[in-house]
Amino acid sequence: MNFNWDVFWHYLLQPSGIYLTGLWLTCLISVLAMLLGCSLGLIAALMRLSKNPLLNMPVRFYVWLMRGTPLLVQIVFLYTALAAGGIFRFEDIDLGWFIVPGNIQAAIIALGLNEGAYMAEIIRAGIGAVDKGQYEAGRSLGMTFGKLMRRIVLPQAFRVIVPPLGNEFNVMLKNTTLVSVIGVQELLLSTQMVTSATFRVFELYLVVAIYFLMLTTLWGFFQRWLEQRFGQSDRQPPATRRMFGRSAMKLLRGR
Amino acid sequence: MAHKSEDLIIEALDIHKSFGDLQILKGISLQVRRGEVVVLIGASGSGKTTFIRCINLLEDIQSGRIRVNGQSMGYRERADGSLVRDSERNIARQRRDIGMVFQRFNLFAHMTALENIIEAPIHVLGVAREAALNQGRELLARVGLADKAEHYPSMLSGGQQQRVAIARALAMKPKAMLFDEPTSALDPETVGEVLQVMKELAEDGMTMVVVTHEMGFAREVADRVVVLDQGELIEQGPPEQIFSRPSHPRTQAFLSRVL
Repeated sequence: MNFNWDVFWHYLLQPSGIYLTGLWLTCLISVLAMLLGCSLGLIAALMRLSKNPLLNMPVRFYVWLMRGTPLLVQIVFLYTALAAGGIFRFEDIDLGWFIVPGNIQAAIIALGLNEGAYMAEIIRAGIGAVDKGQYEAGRSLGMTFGKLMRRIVLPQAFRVIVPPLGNEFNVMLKNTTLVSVIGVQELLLSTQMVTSATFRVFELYLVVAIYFLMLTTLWGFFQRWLEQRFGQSDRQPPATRRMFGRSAMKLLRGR
Repeated sequence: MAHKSEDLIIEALDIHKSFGDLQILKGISLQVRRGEVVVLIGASGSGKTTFIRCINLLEDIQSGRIRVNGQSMGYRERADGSLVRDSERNIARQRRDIGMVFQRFNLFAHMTALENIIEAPIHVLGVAREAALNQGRELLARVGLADKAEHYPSMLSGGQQQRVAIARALAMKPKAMLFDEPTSALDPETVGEVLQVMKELAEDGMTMVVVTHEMGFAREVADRVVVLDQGELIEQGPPEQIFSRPSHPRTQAFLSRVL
């Protein structure tokens, strides 16, 4: 077997700068895309709940489009195809102390747009799990729709949303590897660059797999803490509803 | 019944309501004076719950007028007398004057008893937190639950939850209180404690409209009993008259079934 333990241990334990940059980019892109996805998802979920077709039809279309096309295609389309078609080109943005390259902007937006569609369905299901009586009680106390959502419905929906939200972020961490196709030097592309110089493909891909495993494992611990924390101050919902919540989420996620 | 109009807290005039083709309310009118306790009785499906839900606009109505404390609910009158649907914000404002107690309590599940009570005063009326907390504790004491302030609804019995719900509605200092079958979802042994709180509230002069199947409560506490049947108001009067000498044959039939 062609396997060099020295190379393996070296890159695993003493990663070069290019690796660390990749790791940092992977985390940064995941977090920003997730924040974008959650914001879009919340807006889309609220629009989707509206009875007005002008509000809910665009959301249906958006969810249909994002879930019906491969994420990889969406990324290439947003960055490469739009620019090639002369429609829109992501330019580098100079923030003075830091230049945000166009492909990183495109990566965050593409992943965030895709995530927004899944989050919309998750948040919608979470809101739907809140008892109708809670709305009536809020209304009867003179709350407007915004206040009712902010103070009563969303905090209760949040309990239902947190577990699938954690899974979404786990998927997001791994999906960042897809933006390597538009030249974003996240972990995977960094690895590819190192392999092309060293030809140690087996060792280095093993290292990158272990890196992702560490990231998702760390996140898993955080997710567990998050779920426990939000379980404490809240009422434990009956087992049937909890089960329904989880299985309904899985169905909705479709993956 | 001739009363000075400023004494009228709730005026419902010719309320029509239907779900699709099904007519639920066929022109109900009701006036409630300040401090009056009106109990609505009638068979299931007679429209009594729908009617009080219409008063605070939890249900849309097809036609009719609702005024609370002299103010038109849900609609604004144009200069020419025609009606336009009011904005969401105005409707929310109008609802502050009416407290509502639900059959299923509907306490906010993510908040303690005390937090349930102070939520709307702070976030709807803009009362200072300290003042709201003091008032909240007073109200909890008033419904006999001073020791349950930090309990979540799931830790309380049905009767206790309903008493917290009453305190929550009272915290808005409403002009009138609506009770939608407040004891129907309770275990028999906790019905009494809720009725007792409601009775004390009536004695304190609160204007109340109560939908209930508790005929004993109606007989003892009501100033006026109103009988609904198939979406119509068929009879009303003091409890002794309704319970001992009902004039309408359908009232007689209903009472003979439940008493």
